[in-house]
Amino acid sequence: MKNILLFHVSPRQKGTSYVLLQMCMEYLSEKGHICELMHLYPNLNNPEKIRETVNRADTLVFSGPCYINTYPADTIALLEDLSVHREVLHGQYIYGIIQGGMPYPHTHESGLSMLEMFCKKCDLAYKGGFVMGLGAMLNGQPIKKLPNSKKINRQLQIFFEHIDKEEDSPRQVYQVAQFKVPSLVYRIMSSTMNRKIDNDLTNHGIDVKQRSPYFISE
Amino acid sequence: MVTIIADEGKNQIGMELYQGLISKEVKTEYILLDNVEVKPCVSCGGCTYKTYGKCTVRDDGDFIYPKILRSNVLIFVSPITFGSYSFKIKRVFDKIGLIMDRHYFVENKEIVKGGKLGSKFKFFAIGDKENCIEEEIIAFQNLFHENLIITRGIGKAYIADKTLSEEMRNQIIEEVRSV
Repeated sequence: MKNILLFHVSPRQKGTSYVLLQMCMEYLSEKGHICELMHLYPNLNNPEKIRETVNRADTLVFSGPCYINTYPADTIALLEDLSVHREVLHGQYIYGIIQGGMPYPHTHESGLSMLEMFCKKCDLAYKGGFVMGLGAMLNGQPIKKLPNSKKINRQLQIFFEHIDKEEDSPRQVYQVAQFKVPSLVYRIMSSTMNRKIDNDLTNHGIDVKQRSPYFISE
Repeated sequence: MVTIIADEGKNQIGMELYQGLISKEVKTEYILLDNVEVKPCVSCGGCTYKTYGKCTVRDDGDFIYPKILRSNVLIFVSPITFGSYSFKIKRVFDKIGLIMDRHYFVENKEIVKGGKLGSKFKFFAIGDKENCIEEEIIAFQNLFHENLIITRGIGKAYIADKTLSEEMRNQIIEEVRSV
């Protein structure tokens, strides 16, 4: 039985990163671990509380969205703060979950690399992570809504099992869950999504061809 | 115009590059992030439905994003932080979608986002490797490579060590002028 901190590093309280973290927490709680869930954003001004919570944990699982190829800025600030308060870091096991809109793992993997570098510099044990594409499609809904949900679910269970057993979780675990279709399908998907974007904006009374407000506001 | 956005830390890499560009008569803006605050993107959707194309939060992004939008070239200068950009640079970068095309394209058989509104996204990053381990440099270069893919951008990442050598500075200036 371990103390496991599930660290939610998304600014959205009930988005897809949270759904994944909750699945992880349910699995690990059933295995008898003591799980604690912490949201980063409501605690941005409370670093003491964050440090105390990190200090109590044997294992940390970070889960967050991919903003331009890695976790959002405030995850970097969090890791920096922990790295200068090394007294709360004592060889914990670190896992990461990162999810984003693009279906390709390589788009989001830099987030996991960042956690790995943090571990190397702070003598923590980076144990691997899980990358999930198409996360934006879900927008906080259960993962069964994804076209590759069966694969994702199966591979997530394997990932959670690695956390339970404190094992390394290799890249292959999430790579095999990738949504793969021929590039022609991607072309159809992108046209469909573009039409959806334009229709949605038009329905909200927004001119899709308007100039950026930043051209005017300088 | 070139816009340099710099988190210098203890060093002056961005300023060194700025002086080099100015000396070659390249019109350049230099933004030091020391006393600048861009609040976090919280994915509120306000830039879509409330104020289309603009963040609903009033902060220093109000002067930064117009400058990036009007620039031909964006250059980030950042200490390499766990193989990524620094917190301050990333706060700016997290909201870059404000000035990017929202549509999807297929390039190299993959879906990518649209790139900068109205022009090609020309983007350079200079990572300061002070206090870095070797793997962080690789991670930083991989991250930059992914940034170019997702933004349909063109450019290059450079790695400096506390300062810009004259050779690297001239190389960057040449690259910036030729893109």
